[in-house]
Amino acid sequence: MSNETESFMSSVATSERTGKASRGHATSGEVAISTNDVNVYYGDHHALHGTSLDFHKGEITALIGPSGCGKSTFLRSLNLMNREIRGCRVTGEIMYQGRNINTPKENLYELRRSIGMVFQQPNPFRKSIYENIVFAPKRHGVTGKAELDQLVEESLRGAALWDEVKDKLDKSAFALSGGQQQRLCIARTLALKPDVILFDEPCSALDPISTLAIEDLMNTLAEERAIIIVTHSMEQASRVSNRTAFFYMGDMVEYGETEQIFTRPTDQRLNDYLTGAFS
Amino acid sequence: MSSIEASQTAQAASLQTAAAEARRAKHIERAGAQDRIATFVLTAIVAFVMLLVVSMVAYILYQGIGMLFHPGFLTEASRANGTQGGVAYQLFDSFYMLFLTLVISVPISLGGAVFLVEYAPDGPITKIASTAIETLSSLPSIVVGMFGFLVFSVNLGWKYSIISGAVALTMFNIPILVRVIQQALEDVPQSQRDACLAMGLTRWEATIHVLIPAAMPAIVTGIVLSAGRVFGEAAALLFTSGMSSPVRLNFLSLNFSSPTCAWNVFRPGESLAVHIYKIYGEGSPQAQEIVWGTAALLMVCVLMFNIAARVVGKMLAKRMTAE
Repeated sequence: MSNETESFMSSVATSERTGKASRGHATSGEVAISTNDVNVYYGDHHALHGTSLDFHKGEITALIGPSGCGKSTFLRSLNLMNREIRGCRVTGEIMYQGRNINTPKENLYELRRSIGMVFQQPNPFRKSIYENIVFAPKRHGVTGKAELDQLVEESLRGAALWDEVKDKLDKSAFALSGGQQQRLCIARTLALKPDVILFDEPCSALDPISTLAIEDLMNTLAEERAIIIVTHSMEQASRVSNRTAFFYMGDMVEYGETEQIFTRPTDQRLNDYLTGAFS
Repeated sequence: MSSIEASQTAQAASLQTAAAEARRAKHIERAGAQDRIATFVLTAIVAFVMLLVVSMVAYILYQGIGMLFHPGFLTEASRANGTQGGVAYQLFDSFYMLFLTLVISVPISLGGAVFLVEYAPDGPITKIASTAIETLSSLPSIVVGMFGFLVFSVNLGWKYSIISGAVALTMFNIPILVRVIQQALEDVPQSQRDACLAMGLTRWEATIHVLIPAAMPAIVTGIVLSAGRVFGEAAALLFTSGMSSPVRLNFLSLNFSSPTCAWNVFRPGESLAVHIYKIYGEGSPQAQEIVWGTAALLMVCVLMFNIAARVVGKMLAKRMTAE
């Protein structure tokens, strides 16, 4: 019991340290993915209006705004997950690795290997921990026991879960706690070696300590990737992100350095949102 | 003056609260009484239904159990047009037709359900298909039997045969299975599909490797329960598989065109339920005993299907969540 508490405390402490360290870091400035005038329609409903944003490697970008403002809709456009929703249409350019991916010709299966996504509810498969990680790589053609074993260890270490599960890799993923399941989902994504990871409110179903563990992890992951996170928690956005974009009623209203967004907002609507005039 | 007024107001107020209190107490009392009455009525209804079912099962077992354990009843062929001997061939024919029915209907139903849940675009054709399946699942089985007779027995020239019966049963079974499997697949959370698609897997890979395995306990339970219904079916078989088994069946023969080969699907066959129907009209006391014995046998088999469905479903669910 006391051991557990200690390890929790140390993970919290680490999270603060790394959090500050990475925030101070100068980023590469290399754009990993960018959008140009992206609009999303659900049937006749124009859910997101012309949004243009750049996301940089080595940075965490937070998308904030009240419910229904279009931030998740925008996030789901980046890996073309909106195509899976009936009646959903996305226009505009999404530039990734030097090409516009928002075309019918784009190979979704290849694309989604390199743009990973973590969802709101932890959604591991009803399989063992090991199988959860190797499932997608196997389908994408990774074979060989040694290679897969190594991939599992790497991915679980990358998601700060290895020490907790290394002795029970053959146990069901459903036996893990919510926070562990979410880190397993992150490990599963890492196994495909993505260079962009999209987080869709990844902590909204988790307790505060698991939340800090995930935030800590995001900081580490951002060192060599672009991380984009949709969050309802302004504290979370201010804790983890380098840049923040504020969405309101389908418009991307303001975008800038997180510090500037939270301390010197220019738009009245953002100011009202931050001061709690609406939520 | 003011003190009198004040005391009057206070009195009025206390009267008011007392009245409100009384109303509330009355309401609670009334609600409590209603609750007790409802509990009593519901319990009585359930008890009545239970009594009906249990006495039916008990009566059939009471009448039939003697015959069930009669030497030769389960192992001998029937004689004298079913009024003597056992029901070994009927038992075999029932299981054989069930087996053939499942072999044909499970893959088709699985495919249909997967298409409807995972692939079918919203549109008039999908709607028509769904409505057709719903209608078919409540089609009277005698109509299925008539259709089977006209199409398979007459037009295709299969005459009264095991295969005609099995195909008629398939038509009867597919709509039920499609709906069961559809429901099982729809119950798998959307987040499991999203997880697959977001990792660059195709819908097909998601279906085969994640959705069907996750739905498997419910699918297996549904299949076994539907098997119970198929096993006890009579009306759909009257005109398709016929009302008689060959007098002599050879289980060792592999000459599939021989009329006495047990495995020949083009020979006539008779299910247990049809057997009951056929010999019920015979007056002799021995025939009546065989009817009761067959009824008891049919019931025990269906009961075993139901128990098997529960056990297998639970086992699969357990194996998948706690491996």
